[in-house]
Amino acid sequence: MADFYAVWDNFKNFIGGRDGVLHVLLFGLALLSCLFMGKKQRRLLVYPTIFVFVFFFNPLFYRYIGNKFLSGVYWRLLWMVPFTFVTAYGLASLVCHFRRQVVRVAAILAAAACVIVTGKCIYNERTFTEADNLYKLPQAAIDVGDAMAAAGIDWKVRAVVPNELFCYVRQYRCDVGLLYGRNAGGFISDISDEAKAVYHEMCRETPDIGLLTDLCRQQEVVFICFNTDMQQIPEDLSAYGYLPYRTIGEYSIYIWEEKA
Amino acid sequence: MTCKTVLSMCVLFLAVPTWFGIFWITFLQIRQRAKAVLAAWVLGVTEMLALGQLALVPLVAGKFTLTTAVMVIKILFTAAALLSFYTVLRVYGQRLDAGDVNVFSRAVVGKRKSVTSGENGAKKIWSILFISLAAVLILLQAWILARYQHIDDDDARFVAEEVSAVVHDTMLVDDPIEDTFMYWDVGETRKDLASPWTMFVAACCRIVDVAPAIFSHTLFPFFMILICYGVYALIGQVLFAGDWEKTALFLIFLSVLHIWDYTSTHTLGSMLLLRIWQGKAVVASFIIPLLFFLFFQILQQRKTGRYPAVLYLVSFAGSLPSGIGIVIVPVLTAIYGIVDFCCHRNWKKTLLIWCSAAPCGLYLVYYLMGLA
Repeated sequence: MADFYAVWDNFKNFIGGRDGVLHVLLFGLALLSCLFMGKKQRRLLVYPTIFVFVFFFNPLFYRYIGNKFLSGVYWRLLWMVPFTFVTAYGLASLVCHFRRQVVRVAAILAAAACVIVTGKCIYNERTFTEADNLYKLPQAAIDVGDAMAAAGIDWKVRAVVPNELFCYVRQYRCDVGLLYGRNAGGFISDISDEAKAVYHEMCRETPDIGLLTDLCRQQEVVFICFNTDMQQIPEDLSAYGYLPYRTIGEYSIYIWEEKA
Repeated sequence: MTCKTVLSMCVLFLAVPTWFGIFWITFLQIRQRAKAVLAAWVLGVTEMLALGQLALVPLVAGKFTLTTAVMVIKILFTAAALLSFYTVLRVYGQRLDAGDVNVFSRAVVGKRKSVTSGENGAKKIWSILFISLAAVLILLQAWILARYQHIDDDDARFVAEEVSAVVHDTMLVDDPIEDTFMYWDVGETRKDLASPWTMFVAACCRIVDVAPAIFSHTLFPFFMILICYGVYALIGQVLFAGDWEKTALFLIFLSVLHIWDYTSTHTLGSMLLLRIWQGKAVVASFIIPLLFFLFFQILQQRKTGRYPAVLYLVSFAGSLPSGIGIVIVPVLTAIYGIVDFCCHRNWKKTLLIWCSAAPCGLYLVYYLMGLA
């Protein structure tokens, strides 16, 4: 039973919980209508969809295959269910029943309104913004990356950057290697204990500069970049072995004095 | 971004695949012109992905450079283009031999349609209106992704791997975050050998001469959204028996459904309209619908026909973008094989369908070994 609930959670996760229920209902109605449309629709759309659902909701399959090899991404198997195009087919078929074009247009508008009211628009302020640059990366990540590379220290330097930048610097240039990046949260591989300690300090509003710089020197980190709007950092870090290098907006970059 | 870059993208993702696809539409005997052009484009892109997979897996395993990979891919693309050229020569040669002297002018101008009566004329106007609305909606979706910025943190790995490959001229040997040496056979990236999508993108970046972040976030999504809707248009053609007006209505509803499908970040709409440049989104929005289109064609025929041959191509192409493609292609093939057997009781055809998943099966074994 626990396996079934786990599968059910995957399903809920996929449709987006209550937000997606109405679209799933629309799909269900469309599939039901396909069942009565004819042999062709049953063969092409209904039977395979039922097979996929039987396959997906099979607790044994989940226990022995899904849980082992698709852990965390089992919901991706639901891509095999043609949710959108079965619904679109159902709606288009319904609309095509009307012979008069004016009535047909009214039906199209009503059906589209039904989809719009029951769904959530993908285009909103949280998903799309004006592009900062051609790379479509935060401008600060590009400026910080350029500043570090401009020092001309080596063909590759190691750096620590604030958490809001670590996903983007290396999408722009690969001559800046990070002590840790998104893998601080277990993304690709585990990070070392030293890197974990640095990450922990970088998450704090008032980091322990002594500990942070000690660890960075041990790890041969050439640049440390702080967000001075979010972190309280003493202006002079020379006592800790790091010199001020450049300030870009709210970001202050310090360079290891051995490499300066 | 220059005109040269845009032109290169048009050549790489419009002209080249459509040319490749001529072989497939001739092989599959698709005669209706608009459908043939769409099918040529879509199957040409599939062939590009399949060739990418065939070239990249051994080259990554052999620790070759990206330059070598680009060279091999170019050679394979040239061979595919020559195959299409041979197909064109043979088909038109046969028609000319048969005494059809207008074969070339008809190919360019198209068949002259008879003058339509009043009722048919009005119907045609509505058809054009619906087709135009569908085209505008689809182009709008492609333009929004090309124009505006959507940030996805998964790119921290994918785009970083591409940047590293392009700059260092290596393939999957640098840790995408720390930039330390990390052979592909280690950790999470072990499965990248079976699905070297990022290296395919890196090779495309080299061919087009553009930075991976610009390619992935701006140029590629525009073309990919059009290609995905091309597949959906083909599905509409099958479901509505070649009726373009109904297909247009189908595409309009599909567009509305995709745009209002943001109930979670996992839905098909989210995959298509938020991060189509990532391999898993290519599987969800291109490979799986393409499989549906092929299975629809196969299920409608009692005899084996020629469509199962394309499944072999998709088996390679589906393995390139993501590990989930390697899992889903055989599963979907198995399911539709069973449905086909239930419908037609033709065990030879079912066997042929199932065998098409063999290339994917081989990658699947490696993929599962990597995860175990």
